[in-house]
Amino acid sequence: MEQLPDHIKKILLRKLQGASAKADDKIIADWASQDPAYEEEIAQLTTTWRMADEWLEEKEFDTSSAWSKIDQRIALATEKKNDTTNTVFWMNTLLKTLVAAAIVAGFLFGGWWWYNKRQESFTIITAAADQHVTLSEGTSVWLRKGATIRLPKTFKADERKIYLSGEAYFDVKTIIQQPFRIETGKGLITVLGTSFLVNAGQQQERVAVVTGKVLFADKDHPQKRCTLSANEEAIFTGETFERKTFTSSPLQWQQEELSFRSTPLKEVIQTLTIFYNHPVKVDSAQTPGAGEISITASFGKESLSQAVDEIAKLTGLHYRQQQDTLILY
Amino acid sequence: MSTDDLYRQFQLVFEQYYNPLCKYASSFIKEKEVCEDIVQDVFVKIWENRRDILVVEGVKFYLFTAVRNNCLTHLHRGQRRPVYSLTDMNIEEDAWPVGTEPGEGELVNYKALLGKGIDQLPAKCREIFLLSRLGNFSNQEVADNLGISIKTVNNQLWKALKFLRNFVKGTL
Repeated sequence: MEQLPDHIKKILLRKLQGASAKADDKIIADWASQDPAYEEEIAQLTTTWRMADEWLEEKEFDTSSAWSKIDQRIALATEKKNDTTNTVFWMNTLLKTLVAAAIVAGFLFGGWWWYNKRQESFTIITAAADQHVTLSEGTSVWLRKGATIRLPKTFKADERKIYLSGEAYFDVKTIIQQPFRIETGKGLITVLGTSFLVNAGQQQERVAVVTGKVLFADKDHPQKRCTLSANEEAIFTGETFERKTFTSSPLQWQQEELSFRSTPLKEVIQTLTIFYNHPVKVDSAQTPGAGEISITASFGKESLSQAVDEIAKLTGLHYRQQQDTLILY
Repeated sequence: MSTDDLYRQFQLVFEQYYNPLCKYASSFIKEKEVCEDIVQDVFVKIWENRRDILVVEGVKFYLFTAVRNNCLTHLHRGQRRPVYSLTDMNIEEDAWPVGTEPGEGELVNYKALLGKGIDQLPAKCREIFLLSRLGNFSNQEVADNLGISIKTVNNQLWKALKFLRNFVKGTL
């Protein structure tokens, strides 16, 4: 077995690698024909090689799932790049670096200063679970899980101002000389004494009034505003106020259950959007009139997708996920 | 070539070489997930920085070299000793590891048995064999890729073949 001459080794390797010429084959055949043991040797080596190739060709790793990972990574990277190229393309690198450094330093210092200042005089409450808070002057606040309010340790004499992100229900104590104000990301809500729900989300903010009157204004352009009475609500996107009256109680989450009685689908999904803090839409271009279908249902502890699935079954509509929005059609 | 066409080409290259490259990587690194990560990273980098290489013959060469380098970097970073150093490529004809006797039940599956045999090849020998076979490289290309002589490649391939033959011997 050791006795294969070097030139035969070389030629056999070449042959196995598929790089041999006709003449090579002949040399090997001639050599092997001298002795059956040689022939056996060549045959065994050839079989071994072929089997090794078969093993090597085995699909041991999942190419298609790997591809979808790659595809996703590249799509993500492309998005990011597109986001940034447009705004900074004109700056040269040095300038960019300097500006970035200055901005970062500014933010760090500003943030530190701001944080310290805030810390001194404000109380911040973030609700880990639905939580009820009574403020010093008697106003009741029910914070939805994840909502944050920030209020001064003592209110000013002419206003009671707090800051809210997330969703909360207010039952405001009436103090005529000292109006109650809620500042949100976009809006400023002014009340005298009343009960209402505020949802200050990222995309939109919603105020739903249960009793009394509320003034809901754009915080940066106070002339842009609307006054809401009982059973009225407004959704503010940063541009316009969309007003309407509501039929189902806005205090759904306080009962940990959403219930709808003959409520139009478009209102139902509005509530779902706020309740789950996840965009849900009706594609009325694809399915005209879908928004008007009336829904009678209640949802307890279902996830959003379960709730949407149930609605789809109820109405005969379909739904799809498009980016981060659930769309019924 | 439009970006879309190029991306399709990219996918084709990926589908053709993903498995061989992972197998090649697993000759350096035991953990399969790490191997897959390394290979995937190489592809993402190609798309980000070296799209030009997708349409030329050399893409295969580039891929195997990149995977190899990244595997060695990974081993180095993890403070793990590389399987072996390519700089000391002198070939000892001795030191055959003794192939473990395959169990009775496994005898039927030559292919699996050969897989085991390949695993047990001496490290240098295994790399040369895998690179040659997985990438379907000529001996000259393997020699260029690893910076060794073509004679060494030939010797090592022969050594691998002989080892494997002995490994499965008796089952043939």
